[in-house]
Amino acid sequence: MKAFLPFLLAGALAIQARDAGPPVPLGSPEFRPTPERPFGWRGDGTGRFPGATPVTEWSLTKNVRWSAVVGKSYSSPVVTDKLVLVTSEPDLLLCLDRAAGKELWRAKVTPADLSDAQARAAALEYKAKDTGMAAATPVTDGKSVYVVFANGIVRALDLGGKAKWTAFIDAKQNTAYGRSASPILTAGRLVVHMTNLYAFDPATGKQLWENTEARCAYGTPLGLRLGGADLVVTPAGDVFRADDGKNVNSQIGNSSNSSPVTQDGMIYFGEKDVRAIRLGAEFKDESVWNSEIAGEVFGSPLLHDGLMFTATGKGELFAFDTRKKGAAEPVIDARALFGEPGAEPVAYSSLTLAGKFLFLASNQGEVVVLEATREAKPVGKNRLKDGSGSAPVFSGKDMFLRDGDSLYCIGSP
Amino acid sequence: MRNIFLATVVALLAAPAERDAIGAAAPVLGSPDFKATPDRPCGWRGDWTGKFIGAMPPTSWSRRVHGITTAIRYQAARPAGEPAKSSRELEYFSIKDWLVTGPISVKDPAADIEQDFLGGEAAVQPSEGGKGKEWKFLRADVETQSRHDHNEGTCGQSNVDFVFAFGKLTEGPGTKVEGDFTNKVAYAHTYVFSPVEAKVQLQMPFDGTAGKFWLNGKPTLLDPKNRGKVYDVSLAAGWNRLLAKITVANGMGKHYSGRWLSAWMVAAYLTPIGPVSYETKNISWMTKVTGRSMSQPIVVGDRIFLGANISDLMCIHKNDGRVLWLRTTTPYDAMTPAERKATPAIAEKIEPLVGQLLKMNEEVVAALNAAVSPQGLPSDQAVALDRKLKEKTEHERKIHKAFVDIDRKKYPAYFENEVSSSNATPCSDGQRVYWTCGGGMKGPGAYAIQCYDLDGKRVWTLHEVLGSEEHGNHQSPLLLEGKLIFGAVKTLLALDAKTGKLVWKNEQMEKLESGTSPVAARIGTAAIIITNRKLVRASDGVEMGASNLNIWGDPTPVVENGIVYNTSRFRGWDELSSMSAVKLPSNPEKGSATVVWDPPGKDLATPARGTNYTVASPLFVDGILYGVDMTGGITAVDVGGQKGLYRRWLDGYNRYNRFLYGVAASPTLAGKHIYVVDDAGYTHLIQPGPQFKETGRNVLENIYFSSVSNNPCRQEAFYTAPYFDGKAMFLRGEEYLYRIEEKTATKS
Repeated sequence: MKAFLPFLLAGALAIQARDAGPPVPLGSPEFRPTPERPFGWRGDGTGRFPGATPVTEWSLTKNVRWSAVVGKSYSSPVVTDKLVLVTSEPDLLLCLDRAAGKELWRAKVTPADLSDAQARAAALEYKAKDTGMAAATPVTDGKSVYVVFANGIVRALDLGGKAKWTAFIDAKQNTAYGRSASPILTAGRLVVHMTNLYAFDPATGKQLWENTEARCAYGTPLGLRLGGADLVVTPAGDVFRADDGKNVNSQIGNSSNSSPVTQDGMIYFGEKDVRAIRLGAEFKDESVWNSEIAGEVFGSPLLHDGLMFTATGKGELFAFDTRKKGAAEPVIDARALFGEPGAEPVAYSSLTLAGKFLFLASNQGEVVVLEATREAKPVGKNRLKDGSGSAPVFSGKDMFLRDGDSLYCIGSP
Repeated sequence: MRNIFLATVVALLAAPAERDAIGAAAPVLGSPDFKATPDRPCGWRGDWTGKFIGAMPPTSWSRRVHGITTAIRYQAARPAGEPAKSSRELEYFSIKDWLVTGPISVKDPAADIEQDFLGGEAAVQPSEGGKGKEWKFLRADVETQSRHDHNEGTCGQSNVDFVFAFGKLTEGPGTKVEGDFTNKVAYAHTYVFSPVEAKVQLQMPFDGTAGKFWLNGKPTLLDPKNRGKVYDVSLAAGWNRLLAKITVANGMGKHYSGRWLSAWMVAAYLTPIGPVSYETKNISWMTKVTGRSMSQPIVVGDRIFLGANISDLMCIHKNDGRVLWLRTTTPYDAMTPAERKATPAIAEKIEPLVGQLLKMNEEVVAALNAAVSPQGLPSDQAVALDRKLKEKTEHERKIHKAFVDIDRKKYPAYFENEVSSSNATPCSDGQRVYWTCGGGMKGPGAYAIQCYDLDGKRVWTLHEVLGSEEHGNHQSPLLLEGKLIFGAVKTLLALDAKTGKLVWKNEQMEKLESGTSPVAARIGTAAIIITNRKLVRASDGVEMGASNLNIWGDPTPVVENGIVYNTSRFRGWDELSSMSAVKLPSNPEKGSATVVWDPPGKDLATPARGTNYTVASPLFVDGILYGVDMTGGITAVDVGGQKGLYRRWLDGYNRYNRFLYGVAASPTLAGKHIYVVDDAGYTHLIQPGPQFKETGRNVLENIYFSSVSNNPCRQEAFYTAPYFDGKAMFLRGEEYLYRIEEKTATKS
């Protein structure tokens, strides 16, 4: 864990993605995913695994350490030092042994688990749409794992698979293609963006607050510290206090499918409207630079070494210099990564950094590997079989990648 | 349940302005004497029902390319002399009838495209069930494709789907296919008759590993990196042989939410080489519109009003097609002089641009009027006009971007909307015309709400930031008891139609959806407003209760005798979507609608494959509810007996995804027929009644060599239902407004 962010930008409050000091104990209310313990959506929310040392070449017969049939989902696995936690359609959370891929347990999360009859009926009534029931990536604090299903069920389990609590979000879906935002642990709260924005007590499942003005789409919200305040920034660019859910600013950015990311006192949005925002006194926003991307973006942006990378659903890579001011031109402008873009999306997943490489997985099972530089020189293209739409995650020498109904652990033997 | 429908016949009326206030003697909608009044406004679907009972509309018309593609015929069967009776015209440039053979195993689907599996590919002249390889007939249509993309359920192309052809298909939701489609090759063959030797262009979009075609034995490899590539080819006089060969590594594609997407298909289109002119039948005039939109034209007296492009409200003379006026709206038009003065950037940056825009509009009107004709512009003459329209569009975008620079939250651009930000249908009380534009797909969503007199004088304009749904906003305003009702996301507004002043605002609408417009009904004498999820009192905007409509998609419901009908009821990917109905409460002050009819889709909508996503609104005629969906299917349901009468796929023309789906336009009753316009502009005339009977089919071809719509399939798309006025039908596509009325043929 690095200490506080090294500088305070003039006229702006410093943003801290995480707390300083020694690591908080696993399972404590203060736990939030960090680069060292990237136990949630995009690891710690950044998609960055800088300490990883992955292989860059693999296939069904090369560098596969193990594979396990886990079922399908758009969610990504979560990897701890010993476990791999992964959701699967329509109602499963699976726990695998990280070393060998052996299934340790599986928990079925169904409406029958809800004690309240009205909640049970509402959960049963829910019909999954395109993103399915289990698109949200789980999050763990090292002691408990939290899962959210599109039918509104929120559940905490211990890492032995035993249920700790179950909550229900009773809100009509307001997105056309389903529900996919992942839960996040921030400021001692489990924050879930599902139609409305909710905070639960991770220990008990008690709903702490709800904000019905938080416009919900598909991306996962960002938790961060600004000055002394813990905030939640939604993809739509609405900003809320994590303590009480009060809205403190709106429309600072404008994303839908992807999540905002933060680094060095800035918040970045990366869809059609690409924008770098600095929050100042009283959370007032200042647009530092902006650009546009033609074409729909599904994956979230990734920050590395003064660059913001992202890719469109058609697999076109963009990169922007994060030190720009005003209207910014991309330094990489719609470079096709998966051949000539066709009519349909080929990449729902987010770019991920591991070591010095960028990884982008296609829906069809291809993963491109690029140098994480301004040139983004291609390093390789690797293929498994079926693809998944979810992003790989990394830990040490290993890459964990969904493909069809399987989860692969890729690494040098 | 039948009694529920009968019991409320008198008390509750849809479109309150139409019938009860005026009485039976008033001319009905569609009649040449119909006049919009404050008590009986016109707007969305005429009077919000889609029924032009007084119309005497045309039943036969066409617009075809003046050239070889109109003379070409094709047939799957091996010809013997002249084209057989079963041969088909090349409508919309599409070849639909084929003989197919396969599947044949290959070792390497990429390399083996060069291997001959027919023992003479170049010379093959197949016949159905003939000797040697077995060839079977396949009509490429919605009905014969396994591929049903996404929730729209569309095919994308008029594909030969080899998975459908060779697989064992189980119909219904969660469609299943059995068969081996790994490392395979298949062929499709058709015969094309050209009366003379001719050069045409061939497009063969395909899914698979590799593709090749032979025209009269001459091979060409299809480009897998450019699957929409246009090939210049020569047809011989007489019969030509067209053979396609597609290899595939995994033809099953993938399962997708219970459906699967075939990945082994090919389509074929023979298009003319430009420049192209047209011959038309029963088209009085065609007026180029300033841009793409789903806005339906309305007729008020001798004037037609419709939205176009980003924010254009066009007024066109109904007799001669002349553009009488054109108004473009930006946030500047909604600002008071004091507001303009308060922001220095307005005078500095906006006003010069607005001044230029007004000038450009004058030039555009002159150019549009010079182009009005019964045939529309030949393709070479359209280029200059399209360029001028694009310049205007770019200029308008520049104004919006300048406003974004001034304050991006207060002035989000109007142009970020699906299809167009001018999608709303205007409405009128006979004295003024009201319209809304704007939207903002997945964006903050700003709208201009406007009122003009019939001569185009701007009476009032409001700029409101209400937010937008992920696919923008396509709702049309409702004129009701002197109030203009408009909604977006969570806010429903009622404005004084005369002044534009706010009468009430309800910001607790939960979700109004992109395309479901507010509609009115009466409970006793009180008017109420029905929205996607809620019922609202028209007098003060207070929520009465839930509408319980469960609308999935974009339809606007219709109200008939106190029952509200929805043709898009999502029941999950494992079930077919269906139709549903709710009964309005008897208390006009408070109460929710109650579900009276919510049958499973299998009881109504079979056969169906995938899920029949619906954009079009329902049509209720004589106890039968008609719905059309994005697969190009029509469903008729006996609402009294609560049973499905029929479901059919209309033999229409699906092209590229997101431009030409199946049917988006709502079915419309005019005279004796239901008019269903598919997205290619192909109009099916359906006879109302318990049995499916199609009595007419009409083509409007328009192939682009330039366009204002950026439609990649180069064929004009139609998303909008026609409006009927006496003997005339007014139909708008992406490029033109058509006046169609029965008379004799003309040639350009």
